[in-house]
Amino acid sequence: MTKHHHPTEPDQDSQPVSEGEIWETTLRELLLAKGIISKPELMAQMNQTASQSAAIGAQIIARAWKDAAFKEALLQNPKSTLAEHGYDVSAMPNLIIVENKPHIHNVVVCTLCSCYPRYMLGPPPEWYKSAAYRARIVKEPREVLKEFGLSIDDDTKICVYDSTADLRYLVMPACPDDVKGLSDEHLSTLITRDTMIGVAVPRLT
Amino acid sequence: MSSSFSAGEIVQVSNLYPKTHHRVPKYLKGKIGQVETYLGEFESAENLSYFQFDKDKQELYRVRFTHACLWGGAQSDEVFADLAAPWLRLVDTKK
Repeated sequence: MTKHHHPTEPDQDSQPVSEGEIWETTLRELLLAKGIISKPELMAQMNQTASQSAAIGAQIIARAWKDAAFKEALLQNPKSTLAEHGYDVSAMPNLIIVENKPHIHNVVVCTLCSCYPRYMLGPPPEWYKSAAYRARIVKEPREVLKEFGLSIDDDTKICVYDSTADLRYLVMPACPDDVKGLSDEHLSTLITRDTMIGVAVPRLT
Repeated sequence: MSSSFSAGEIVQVSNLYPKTHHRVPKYLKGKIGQVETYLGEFESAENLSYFQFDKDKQELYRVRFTHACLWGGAQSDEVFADLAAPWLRLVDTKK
């Protein structure tokens, strides 16, 4: 048995209860007591939320890069195309996929709150919900992207999609040159969450 | 039902500031943009926020705004936002 080199972490559940936890417990117990939701429904939703991640989006984009017919169908009718290929999108809001092209770079925001293609990307990062990102990306997109380490050429137009209503937006990043011979797995690792929000582009390292 | 606006038409966003919930960002109010596409009919965000679920649906449009029109300057960048028909007014470009 090796010696402990760090102090023992305090147990999470021995901490004082936060206000947010009280609200969550109260709301959950009320919804269950009034029969508005059932326990199995709650568990199913929790499992579904936990299973969402940017890996789903990456898998779909990687497939689109390799399969022109799938890509075309995905851009035309994202939801029905995903359903046809075995993804359960019944609970997903309407989705629009915007494709990066030579001289067009797309980026997604929700200036009013934090609408985000959760089905494809999982929960949004903290910065996506920050007032600074939401206020600045529509006003000074070039400067904001530069801060993310992404310089956009002057002859490339930046299109900012503000998700103000019922639709969710996802960026289809452009496939880098010279990816021939890369495995699907390797290809998917290039397609990060940030490349599908539009604050990064896939790069071969 | 035919849609109120067609792709390419020039529209102005209402410059209204209701105290009640609505989903039109302040930076677009009063601004002029171009209808990019009709997105279909959706329930009104205003009604839904008051738990009124069975009211008439509203037409939704994706509208394109140039960076220059929103903020001035010569940048070619654009902002796209999804806005409901009651918030849009056709701008007569023949005048």
